[in-house]
Amino acid sequence: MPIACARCNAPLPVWELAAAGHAGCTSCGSRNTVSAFPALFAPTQAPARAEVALDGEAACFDHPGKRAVAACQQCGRFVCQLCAVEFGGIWCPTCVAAGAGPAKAANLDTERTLYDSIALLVPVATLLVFWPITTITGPGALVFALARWKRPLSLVRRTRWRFIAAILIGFGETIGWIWVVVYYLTRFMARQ
Amino acid sequence: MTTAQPRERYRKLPGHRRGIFRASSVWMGSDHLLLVKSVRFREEYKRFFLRDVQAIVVAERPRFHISTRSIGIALLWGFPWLFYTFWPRGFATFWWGAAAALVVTWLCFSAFCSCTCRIYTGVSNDELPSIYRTWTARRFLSRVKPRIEEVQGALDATWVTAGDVASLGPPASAAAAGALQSGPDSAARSRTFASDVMIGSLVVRGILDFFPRYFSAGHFRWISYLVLLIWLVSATAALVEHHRGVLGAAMQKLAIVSIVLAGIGYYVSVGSLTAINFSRSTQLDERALMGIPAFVLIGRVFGALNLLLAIAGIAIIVSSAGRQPDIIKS
Repeated sequence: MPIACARCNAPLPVWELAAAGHAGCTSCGSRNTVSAFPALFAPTQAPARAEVALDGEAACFDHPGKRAVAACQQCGRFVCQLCAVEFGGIWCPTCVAAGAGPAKAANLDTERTLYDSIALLVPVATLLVFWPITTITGPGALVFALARWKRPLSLVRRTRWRFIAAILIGFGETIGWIWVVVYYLTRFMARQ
Repeated sequence: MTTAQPRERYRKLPGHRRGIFRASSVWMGSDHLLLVKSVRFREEYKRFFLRDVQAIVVAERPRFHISTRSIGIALLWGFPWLFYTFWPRGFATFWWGAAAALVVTWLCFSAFCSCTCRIYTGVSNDELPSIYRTWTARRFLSRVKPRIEEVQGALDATWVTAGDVASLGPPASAAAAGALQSGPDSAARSRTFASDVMIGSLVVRGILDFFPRYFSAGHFRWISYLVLLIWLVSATAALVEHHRGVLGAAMQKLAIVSIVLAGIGYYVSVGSLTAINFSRSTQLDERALMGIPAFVLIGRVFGALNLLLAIAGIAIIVSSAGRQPDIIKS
Protein backbone atom coordinates (compact mmCIF):
# COMPACT_ATOMS: atom_id res chain seq x y z
CA MET A 1 0.00 0.00 0.00
CA PRO A 2 1.42 3.41 -0.89
CA ILE A 3 1.29 6.30 1.56
CA ALA A 4 -2.42 6.92 1.85
CA CYS A 5 -4.52 9.92 2.73
CA ALA A 6 -5.46 9.78 6.43
CA ARG A 7 -8.96 10.89 5.59
CA CYS A 8 -10.06 8.84 2.57
CA ASN A 9 -7.26 6.24 2.33
CA ALA A 10 -6.54 7.09 -1.32
CA PRO A 11 -2.88 6.97 -2.36
CA LEU A 12 -1.10 10.31 -1.99
CA PRO A 13 0.71 11.67 -5.04
CA VAL A 14 4.46 11.22 -4.75
CA TRP A 15 5.24 14.46 -6.57
CA GLU A 16 3.48 16.37 -3.77
CA LEU A 17 5.17 14.35 -1.01
CA ALA A 18 8.50 15.36 -2.44
CA ALA A 19 7.66 18.95 -1.49
CA ALA A 20 8.43 19.00 2.25
CA GLY A 21 6.31 16.05 3.29
CA HIS A 22 2.96 17.72 2.61
CA ALA A 23 0.52 16.32 0.11
CA GLY A 24 -2.94 17.29 -1.06
CA CYS A 25 -5.14 14.27 -1.64
CA THR A 26 -6.35 14.05 -5.23
CA SER A 27 -9.47 12.23 -4.11
CA CYS A 28 -10.85 14.20 -1.16
CA GLY A 29 -8.73 17.35 -1.37
CA SER A 30 -7.44 17.08 2.22
CA ARG A 31 -4.00 18.45 3.03
CA ASN A 32 -1.87 15.67 4.52
CA THR A 33 1.24 16.09 6.63
CA VAL A 34 3.38 12.98 6.39
CA SER A 35 6.00 11.99 8.97
CA ALA A 36 7.87 9.03 7.51
CA PHE A 37 10.40 6.82 9.30
CA PRO A 38 13.13 4.43 8.13
CA ALA A 39 10.93 1.38 8.79
CA LEU A 40 9.12 2.47 5.64
CA PHE A 41 12.05 1.25 3.56
CA ALA A 42 13.03 -1.74 5.67
CA PRO A 43 13.07 -4.91 3.55
CA THR A 44 10.26 -7.28 4.28
CA GLN A 45 11.61 -10.21 6.27
CA ALA A 46 10.86 -13.65 4.98
CA PRO A 47 9.16 -15.84 7.56
CA ALA A 48 11.62 -17.86 9.62
CA ARG A 49 11.98 -21.44 8.40
CA ALA A 50 12.85 -24.06 10.94
CA GLU A 51 15.60 -26.43 9.89
CA VAL A 52 15.23 -30.19 10.02
CA ALA A 53 16.83 -31.83 13.06
CA LEU A 54 19.47 -34.40 12.19
CA ASP A 55 20.21 -37.54 14.20
CA GLY A 56 21.66 -36.69 17.59
CA GLU A 57 20.56 -33.05 17.45
CA ALA A 58 18.18 -31.51 19.96
CA ALA A 59 14.66 -31.19 18.57
CA CYS A 60 11.80 -28.80 19.25
CA PHE A 61 9.32 -29.94 21.92
CA ASP A 62 6.30 -29.17 19.73
CA HIS A 63 7.92 -30.08 16.38
CA PRO A 64 10.07 -33.21 16.89
CA GLY A 65 11.34 -33.04 13.30
CA LYS A 66 12.76 -29.51 13.66
CA ARG A 67 16.11 -28.54 15.09
CA ALA A 68 15.97 -26.73 18.47
CA VAL A 69 17.58 -23.30 18.53
CA ALA A 70 16.98 -22.32 22.16
CA ALA A 71 15.39 -23.32 25.43
CA CYS A 72 12.39 -21.59 26.95
CA GLN A 73 13.41 -19.29 29.81
CA GLN A 74 10.37 -20.28 31.84
CA CYS A 75 9.93 -24.03 31.41
CA GLY A 76 13.18 -25.07 29.75
CA ARG A 77 11.59 -26.81 26.78
CA PHE A 78 13.54 -26.77 23.54
CA VAL A 79 12.04 -24.57 20.87
CA CYS A 80 12.68 -24.40 17.12
CA GLN A 81 13.01 -21.19 15.10
CA LEU A 82 9.28 -21.10 14.47
CA CYS A 83 8.34 -21.55 18.11
CA ALA A 84 10.90 -19.21 19.67
CA VAL A 85 9.15 -16.10 20.95
CA GLU A 86 11.59 -13.30 21.62
CA PHE A 87 10.33 -11.41 24.57
CA GLY A 88 13.11 -10.24 26.89
CA GLY A 89 14.65 -13.65 26.28
CA ILE A 90 13.37 -16.72 24.46
CA TRP A 91 9.98 -18.19 25.37
CA CYS A 92 7.96 -21.11 24.16
CA PRO A 93 4.45 -20.36 22.82
CA THR A 94 2.82 -22.31 25.66
CA CYS A 95 4.40 -20.14 28.36
CA VAL A 96 3.54 -16.94 26.52
CA ALA A 97 -0.06 -18.07 26.01
CA ALA A 98 -0.36 -19.10 29.65
CA GLY A 99 1.09 -15.76 30.77
CA ALA A 100 3.62 -17.54 32.93
CA GLY A 101 6.30 -15.69 34.87
CA PRO A 102 7.54 -12.45 33.30
CA ALA A 103 5.18 -12.91 30.38
CA LYS A 104 2.37 -12.26 32.83
CA ALA A 105 3.94 -9.01 33.99
CA ALA A 106 4.39 -7.74 30.48
CA ASN A 107 0.74 -6.77 30.03
CA LEU A 108 0.00 -8.25 26.64
CA ASP A 109 -3.72 -7.94 27.22
CA THR A 110 -5.70 -6.61 24.33
CA GLU A 111 -8.75 -5.67 26.42
CA ARG A 112 -9.84 -5.28 30.00
CA THR A 113 -13.06 -4.69 31.85
CA LEU A 114 -13.03 -1.66 34.13
CA TYR A 115 -14.55 -3.06 37.30
CA ASP A 116 -13.59 0.02 39.30
CA SER A 117 -15.66 2.24 36.98
CA ILE A 118 -18.65 -0.10 37.28
CA ALA A 119 -18.33 -0.15 41.07
CA LEU A 120 -18.29 3.65 41.21
CA LEU A 121 -20.94 4.43 38.61
CA VAL A 122 -23.68 2.12 39.91
CA PRO A 123 -24.20 3.70 43.37
CA VAL A 124 -23.68 7.25 42.09
CA ALA A 125 -26.01 6.93 39.07
CA THR A 126 -28.79 5.27 41.04
CA LEU A 127 -28.49 7.93 43.74
CA LEU A 128 -28.93 10.67 41.15
CA VAL A 129 -31.56 8.99 38.97
CA PHE A 130 -33.80 7.04 41.37
CA TRP A 131 -32.53 7.02 44.92
CA PRO A 132 -34.79 4.29 46.42
CA ILE A 133 -32.83 1.71 44.38
CA THR A 134 -29.78 2.51 46.49
CA THR A 135 -31.23 0.06 49.04
CA ILE A 136 -29.87 -2.58 46.66
CA THR A 137 -27.12 -0.82 44.76
CA GLY A 138 -25.41 0.68 47.85
CA PRO A 139 -24.63 -2.64 49.55
CA GLY A 140 -24.21 -4.22 46.10
CA ALA A 141 -21.51 -1.73 45.11
CA LEU A 142 -19.78 -2.24 48.44
CA VAL A 143 -19.66 -6.01 47.99
CA PHE A 144 -18.76 -5.72 44.31
CA ALA A 145 -15.87 -3.33 44.97
CA LEU A 146 -14.46 -5.54 47.73
CA ALA A 147 -14.85 -8.70 45.65
CA ARG A 148 -13.14 -7.18 42.59
CA TRP A 149 -10.48 -5.28 44.51
CA LYS A 150 -7.67 -7.49 43.25
CA ARG A 151 -8.80 -7.58 39.64
CA PRO A 152 -6.42 -5.79 37.27
CA LEU A 153 -7.18 -2.17 36.55
CA SER A 154 -6.84 -0.43 33.23
CA LEU A 155 -3.33 -0.73 31.77
CA VAL A 156 -2.88 3.00 32.02
CA ARG A 157 -4.45 3.74 35.39
CA ARG A 158 -2.24 3.56 38.43
CA THR A 159 -4.55 3.98 41.41
CA ARG A 160 -7.64 2.36 42.82
CA TRP A 161 -9.39 5.57 43.83
CA ARG A 162 -12.57 4.55 42.04
CA PHE A 163 -12.75 1.38 44.12
CA ILE A 164 -12.14 3.41 47.28
CA ALA A 165 -14.79 5.97 46.33
CA ALA A 166 -17.24 3.17 45.46
CA ILE A 167 -16.64 1.51 48.82
CA LEU A 168 -17.14 4.78 50.69
CA ILE A 169 -20.31 5.70 48.78
CA GLY A 170 -21.70 2.16 49.00
CA PHE A 171 -20.88 2.06 52.70
CA GLY A 172 -22.51 5.45 53.24
CA GLU A 173 -25.68 4.41 51.44
CA THR A 174 -25.82 1.11 53.35
CA ILE A 175 -25.34 2.85 56.71
CA GLY A 176 -27.95 5.44 55.71
CA TRP A 177 -30.54 2.79 54.93
CA ILE A 178 -29.74 0.84 58.11
CA TRP A 179 -30.16 4.04 60.09
CA VAL A 180 -33.53 4.75 58.43
CA VAL A 181 -34.75 1.21 59.09
CA VAL A 182 -33.60 1.25 62.71
CA TYR A 183 -35.11 4.70 63.26
CA TYR A 184 -38.54 3.72 62.00
CA LEU A 185 -38.36 0.36 63.73
CA THR A 186 -37.63 1.97 67.10
CA ARG A 187 -40.43 4.49 66.57
CA PHE A 188 -42.78 1.69 65.66
CA MET A 189 -41.72 -0.30 68.73
CA ALA A 190 -42.13 2.77 70.94
CA ARG A 191 -45.72 3.24 69.74
CA GLN A 192 -46.50 -0.39 70.52
CA MET B 1 16.05 -18.73 36.33
CA THR B 2 13.57 -15.95 35.70
CA THR B 3 13.42 -12.40 36.87
CA ALA B 4 10.10 -10.56 37.07
CA GLN B 5 9.82 -7.61 34.70
CA PRO B 6 8.53 -4.39 36.23
CA ARG B 7 5.03 -3.39 35.17
CA GLU B 8 5.06 -1.18 32.09
CA ARG B 9 4.59 2.46 32.99
CA TYR B 10 2.78 4.54 30.40
CA ARG B 11 2.93 8.27 29.95
CA LYS B 12 -0.03 10.02 28.41
CA LEU B 13 0.47 11.67 25.04
CA PRO B 14 -1.40 14.80 23.93
CA GLY B 15 -5.01 14.28 22.90
CA HIS B 16 -7.98 12.62 24.53
CA ARG B 17 -11.25 11.99 22.79
CA ARG B 18 -14.04 11.82 25.33
CA GLY B 19 -17.48 10.79 24.14
CA ILE B 20 -20.56 9.87 26.12
CA PHE B 21 -19.95 6.17 25.64
CA ARG B 22 -16.63 6.00 23.79
CA ALA B 23 -13.25 7.45 24.59
CA SER B 24 -9.78 7.14 23.18
CA SER B 25 -6.25 8.12 24.09
CA VAL B 26 -2.66 7.28 23.17
CA TRP B 27 0.06 6.46 25.71
CA MET B 28 3.80 6.14 25.41
CA GLY B 29 5.41 2.96 26.75
CA SER B 30 9.07 2.08 26.96
CA ASP B 31 9.25 0.79 23.39
CA HIS B 32 5.76 1.16 22.01
CA LEU B 33 2.73 3.41 21.66
CA LEU B 34 -0.44 2.14 23.30
CA LEU B 35 -3.75 3.07 21.70
CA VAL B 36 -6.56 2.80 24.25
CA LYS B 37 -10.15 2.71 23.01
CA SER B 38 -12.79 2.44 25.67
CA VAL B 39 -16.44 1.65 25.27
CA ARG B 40 -18.02 2.52 28.61
CA PHE B 41 -16.68 -0.21 30.95
CA ARG B 42 -14.34 -1.96 28.56
CA GLU B 43 -10.97 -0.92 27.23
CA GLU B 44 -9.31 -2.24 24.09
CA TYR B 45 -5.58 -1.91 23.58
CA LYS B 46 -3.43 -1.85 20.51
CA ARG B 47 0.34 -1.56 20.60
CA PHE B 48 2.51 0.04 17.94
CA PHE B 49 6.16 -0.76 18.53
CA LEU B 50 8.39 2.21 17.80
CA ARG B 51 10.66 0.10 15.62
CA ASP B 52 7.69 -0.86 13.39
CA VAL B 53 6.10 2.54 12.79
CA GLN B 54 6.47 3.43 9.11
CA ALA B 55 4.62 6.72 8.96
CA ILE B 56 2.22 9.00 10.78
CA VAL B 57 -0.09 10.93 8.47
CA VAL B 58 -2.26 13.85 9.57
CA ALA B 59 -5.02 15.02 7.21
CA GLU B 60 -6.89 18.26 7.76
CA ARG B 61 -10.64 17.78 7.73
CA PRO B 62 -13.72 19.02 9.61
CA ARG B 63 -14.52 17.07 12.82
CA PHE B 64 -17.69 18.01 14.71
CA HIS B 65 -17.10 15.98 17.84
CA ILE B 66 -19.27 16.75 20.87
CA SER B 67 -17.15 15.77 23.82
CA THR B 68 -18.34 15.21 27.38
CA ARG B 69 -16.31 18.29 28.28
CA SER B 70 -18.34 20.48 25.89
CA ILE B 71 -21.57 18.94 27.22
CA GLY B 72 -20.39 19.82 30.74
CA ILE B 73 -19.63 23.40 29.70
CA ALA B 74 -23.08 23.66 28.08
CA LEU B 75 -24.75 22.40 31.26
CA LEU B 76 -22.74 24.82 33.41
CA TRP B 77 -23.58 27.61 31.00
CA GLY B 78 -27.27 26.79 31.17
CA PHE B 79 -27.37 26.42 34.96
CA PRO B 80 -27.66 30.19 35.74
CA TRP B 81 -30.76 30.25 33.52
CA LEU B 82 -32.60 28.73 36.49
CA PHE B 83 -32.20 32.11 38.20
CA TYR B 84 -33.34 34.06 35.14
CA THR B 85 -35.82 36.15 37.13
CA PHE B 86 -33.01 37.60 39.25
CA TRP B 87 -30.88 38.64 36.28
CA PRO B 88 -30.23 42.36 35.79
CA ARG B 89 -31.71 44.06 32.73
CA GLY B 90 -29.83 43.32 29.52
CA PHE B 91 -27.85 40.50 31.08
CA ALA B 92 -29.77 37.86 29.13
CA THR B 93 -28.66 39.42 25.83
CA PHE B 94 -25.05 39.32 26.94
CA TRP B 95 -25.46 35.77 28.25
CA TRP B 96 -26.91 34.30 25.10
CA GLY B 97 -24.61 36.40 22.90
CA ALA B 98 -21.65 34.90 24.71
CA ALA B 99 -23.18 31.41 24.33
CA ALA B 100 -23.62 32.02 20.60
CA ALA B 101 -19.99 33.18 20.38
CA LEU B 102 -18.91 29.96 22.09
CA VAL B 103 -20.91 27.88 19.64
CA VAL B 104 -19.48 29.79 16.68
CA THR B 105 -15.97 29.29 18.09
CA TRP B 106 -16.61 25.56 18.40
CA LEU B 107 -17.93 25.45 14.84
CA CYS B 108 -14.85 27.31 13.55
CA PHE B 109 -12.46 25.01 15.40
CA SER B 110 -14.38 21.96 14.20
CA ALA B 111 -14.45 23.13 10.59
CA PHE B 112 -11.02 24.66 10.15
CA CYS B 113 -8.70 23.35 12.91
CA SER B 114 -9.51 19.66 12.91
CA CYS B 115 -7.80 16.64 11.47
CA THR B 116 -7.56 12.87 11.24
CA CYS B 117 -4.36 11.11 12.28
CA ARG B 118 -3.33 7.66 11.07
CA ILE B 119 -0.41 5.50 12.04
CA TYR B 120 1.05 3.02 9.56
CA THR B 121 3.07 -0.09 10.24
CA GLY B 122 3.99 -2.92 7.91
CA VAL B 123 0.79 -4.79 8.71
CA SER B 124 -1.68 -2.20 9.92
CA ASN B 125 -3.17 1.18 9.23
CA ASP B 126 -5.04 2.60 12.22
CA GLU B 127 -6.69 5.86 13.01
CA LEU B 128 -5.79 7.57 16.29
CA PRO B 129 -9.19 9.00 17.28
CA SER B 130 -7.78 11.08 20.13
CA ILE B 131 -5.82 13.26 17.68
CA TYR B 132 -8.58 15.33 16.11
CA ARG B 133 -7.35 18.91 16.46
CA THR B 134 -4.42 20.26 14.47
CA TRP B 135 -2.66 21.72 17.52
CA THR B 136 -3.00 18.36 19.31
CA ALA B 137 -1.49 16.64 16.26
CA ARG B 138 1.47 19.04 16.31
CA ARG B 139 2.11 18.39 20.03
CA PHE B 140 1.65 14.65 19.55
CA LEU B 141 4.16 14.55 16.69
CA SER B 142 6.64 16.69 18.64
CA ARG B 143 6.55 14.09 21.43
CA VAL B 144 6.44 10.92 19.34
CA LYS B 145 8.70 11.72 16.40
CA PRO B 146 11.91 12.08 18.45
CA ARG B 147 11.23 8.78 20.22
CA ILE B 148 10.70 6.91 16.96
CA GLU B 149 13.79 8.53 15.45
CA GLU B 150 15.77 7.49 18.54
CA VAL B 151 14.88 3.89 17.75
CA GLN B 152 14.92 3.92 13.94
CA GLY B 153 17.07 6.91 13.06
CA ALA B 154 15.86 9.77 10.87
CA LEU B 155 15.14 9.90 7.16
CA ASP B 156 16.78 12.61 5.11
CA ALA B 157 14.80 15.19 3.20
CA THR B 158 14.99 13.27 -0.07
CA TRP B 159 13.31 10.14 1.26
CA VAL B 160 10.51 10.29 -1.30
CA THR B 161 12.84 10.00 -4.25
CA ALA B 162 15.41 7.83 -2.47
CA GLY B 163 13.19 4.93 -1.54
CA ASP B 164 10.40 2.80 -2.78
CA VAL B 165 7.40 4.57 -1.31
CA ALA B 166 5.02 2.02 -2.72
CA SER B 167 6.34 -0.52 -0.23
CA LEU B 168 4.55 1.12 2.71
CA GLY B 169 2.14 -0.89 4.79
CA PRO B 170 0.37 -4.16 4.07
CA PRO B 171 0.32 -5.60 0.54
CA ALA B 172 -1.26 -3.23 -1.90
CA SER B 173 -4.49 -3.74 -3.74
CA ALA B 174 -3.91 -3.78 -7.46
CA ALA B 175 -6.05 -0.70 -8.02
CA ALA B 176 -4.27 1.40 -5.37
CA ALA B 177 -0.81 0.39 -6.53
CA GLY B 178 -1.73 1.04 -10.13
CA ALA B 179 -3.07 4.45 -9.24
CA LEU B 180 0.26 5.41 -7.68
CA GLN B 181 2.54 3.94 -10.29
CA SER B 182 0.70 5.25 -13.29
CA GLY B 183 0.67 8.77 -11.82
CA PRO B 184 -1.91 11.48 -12.16
CA ASP B 185 -3.56 10.29 -15.37
CA SER B 186 -5.34 7.47 -13.57
CA ALA B 187 -6.11 9.52 -10.44
CA ALA B 188 -9.48 11.16 -9.96
CA ARG B 189 -9.99 14.02 -12.36
CA SER B 190 -11.50 17.38 -11.51
CA ARG B 191 -13.72 17.38 -14.62
CA THR B 192 -15.31 14.91 -16.99
CA PHE B 193 -17.81 15.21 -19.81
CA ALA B 194 -20.65 14.50 -17.38
CA SER B 195 -19.50 17.19 -14.97
CA ASP B 196 -19.14 19.70 -17.82
CA VAL B 197 -22.68 18.94 -18.99
CA MET B 198 -23.93 19.26 -15.41
CA ILE B 199 -22.38 22.70 -15.06
CA GLY B 200 -23.69 23.76 -18.45
CA SER B 201 -27.20 22.61 -17.60
CA LEU B 202 -27.00 24.47 -14.27
CA VAL B 203 -26.17 27.66 -16.15
CA VAL B 204 -29.09 27.16 -18.55
CA ARG B 205 -31.48 26.30 -15.71
CA GLY B 206 -30.38 29.39 -13.82
CA ILE B 207 -31.04 31.59 -16.86
CA LEU B 208 -34.42 29.96 -17.65
CA ASP B 209 -35.61 30.49 -14.09
CA PHE B 210 -35.26 34.23 -14.60
CA PHE B 211 -37.92 34.11 -17.33
CA PRO B 212 -40.65 31.95 -15.80
CA ARG B 213 -43.41 33.45 -17.94
CA TYR B 214 -41.85 31.92 -21.07
CA PHE B 215 -40.01 28.82 -19.90
CA SER B 216 -41.92 27.58 -16.84
CA ALA B 217 -45.46 28.04 -18.07
CA GLY B 218 -45.25 29.26 -21.65
CA HIS B 219 -45.04 27.49 -24.98
CA PHE B 220 -41.33 26.83 -24.54
CA ARG B 221 -41.63 25.08 -21.21
CA TRP B 222 -40.53 21.81 -22.83
CA ILE B 223 -37.07 23.41 -23.04
CA SER B 224 -37.10 23.76 -19.27
CA TYR B 225 -38.08 20.11 -18.85
CA LEU B 226 -35.41 19.00 -21.30
CA VAL B 227 -32.71 20.95 -19.47
CA LEU B 228 -33.94 19.53 -16.17
CA LEU B 229 -33.64 16.01 -17.57
CA ILE B 230 -30.14 16.65 -18.95
CA TRP B 231 -29.03 18.09 -15.61
CA LEU B 232 -30.46 15.13 -13.67
CA VAL B 233 -28.74 12.57 -15.92
CA SER B 234 -25.40 14.40 -15.84
CA ALA B 235 -25.50 14.89 -12.05
CA THR B 236 -26.22 11.18 -11.57
CA ALA B 237 -23.40 10.32 -13.98
CA ALA B 238 -21.05 12.58 -11.99
CA LEU B 239 -21.95 10.73 -8.79
CA VAL B 240 -21.36 7.37 -10.46
CA GLU B 241 -18.03 8.56 -11.87
CA HIS B 242 -16.91 9.68 -8.43
CA HIS B 243 -17.92 6.33 -6.99
CA ARG B 244 -15.78 4.64 -9.66
CA GLY B 245 -12.82 6.91 -8.79
CA VAL B 246 -12.89 8.79 -12.09
CA LEU B 247 -14.16 12.14 -10.82
CA GLY B 248 -12.88 14.11 -7.84
CA ALA B 249 -14.74 14.73 -4.59
CA ALA B 250 -15.34 18.44 -5.23
CA MET B 251 -17.50 17.80 -8.29
CA GLN B 252 -19.35 15.03 -6.44
CA LYS B 253 -20.22 17.49 -3.67
CA LEU B 254 -21.39 19.99 -6.27
CA ALA B 255 -23.69 17.35 -7.78
CA ILE B 256 -25.09 16.48 -4.35
CA VAL B 257 -25.72 20.15 -3.50
CA SER B 258 -27.44 20.75 -6.83
CA ILE B 259 -29.70 17.72 -6.32
CA VAL B 260 -30.57 18.82 -2.78
CA LEU B 261 -31.25 22.34 -4.06
CA ALA B 262 -33.53 21.00 -6.79
CA GLY B 263 -35.41 18.95 -4.19
CA ILE B 264 -35.85 21.96 -1.92
CA GLY B 265 -36.93 24.08 -4.91
CA TYR B 266 -39.53 21.50 -5.88
CA TYR B 267 -41.05 21.29 -2.41
CA VAL B 268 -41.00 25.07 -1.95
CA SER B 269 -42.80 25.64 -5.25
CA VAL B 270 -45.35 22.91 -4.58
CA GLY B 271 -45.87 24.18 -1.03
CA SER B 272 -46.33 27.78 -2.12
CA LEU B 273 -48.64 26.71 -4.96
CA THR B 274 -50.80 24.79 -2.51
CA ALA B 275 -50.84 27.74 -0.12
CA ILE B 276 -51.84 30.17 -2.88
CA ASN B 277 -54.61 27.92 -4.18
CA PHE B 278 -55.82 27.24 -0.64
CA SER B 279 -56.16 30.99 0.05
CA ARG B 280 -58.22 31.53 -3.12
CA SER B 281 -61.62 30.16 -3.96
CA THR B 282 -60.63 29.33 -7.54
CA GLN B 283 -57.62 27.36 -8.70
CA LEU B 284 -55.03 29.32 -10.70
CA ASP B 285 -53.56 27.99 -13.90
CA GLU B 286 -49.78 28.01 -14.41
CA ARG B 287 -49.73 31.18 -16.48
CA ALA B 288 -51.71 33.02 -13.81
CA LEU B 289 -49.32 31.78 -11.15
CA MET B 290 -46.41 33.28 -13.05
CA GLY B 291 -48.09 36.65 -12.61
CA ILE B 292 -47.76 36.46 -8.82
CA PRO B 293 -44.59 38.36 -7.84
CA ALA B 294 -43.78 36.13 -4.84
CA PHE B 295 -43.87 33.00 -7.00
CA VAL B 296 -41.64 34.60 -9.62
CA LEU B 297 -39.24 35.77 -6.90
CA ILE B 298 -38.90 32.23 -5.51
CA GLY B 299 -38.10 30.97 -9.01
CA ARG B 300 -35.47 33.66 -9.51
CA VAL B 301 -33.86 32.95 -6.12
CA PHE B 302 -33.43 29.31 -7.07
CA GLY B 303 -32.22 30.39 -10.51
CA ALA B 304 -29.58 32.56 -8.89
CA LEU B 305 -28.54 29.66 -6.66
CA ASN B 306 -28.17 27.43 -9.71
CA LEU B 307 -25.99 30.05 -11.36
CA LEU B 308 -23.88 30.26 -8.18
CA LEU B 309 -23.44 26.49 -8.23
CA ALA B 310 -22.37 26.68 -11.87
CA ILE B 311 -19.82 29.38 -10.99
CA ALA B 312 -18.56 27.18 -8.15
CA GLY B 313 -18.16 24.31 -10.62
CA ILE B 314 -16.19 26.50 -13.02
CA ALA B 315 -14.02 27.67 -10.09
CA ILE B 316 -13.31 24.03 -9.18
CA ILE B 317 -12.20 23.30 -12.73
CA VAL B 318 -10.06 26.44 -12.97
CA SER B 319 -8.40 25.97 -9.56
CA SER B 320 -7.59 22.31 -10.15
CA ALA B 321 -6.14 23.17 -13.57
CA GLY B 322 -3.88 25.68 -11.79
CA ARG B 323 -2.74 23.04 -9.28
CA GLN B 324 -1.58 20.49 -11.86
CA PRO B 325 1.87 19.21 -10.95
CA ASP B 326 4.89 20.18 -12.98
CA ILE B 327 5.31 16.72 -14.50
CA ILE B 328 1.88 17.00 -16.05
CA LYS B 329 2.53 20.47 -17.42
CA SER B 330 5.76 19.31 -18.96
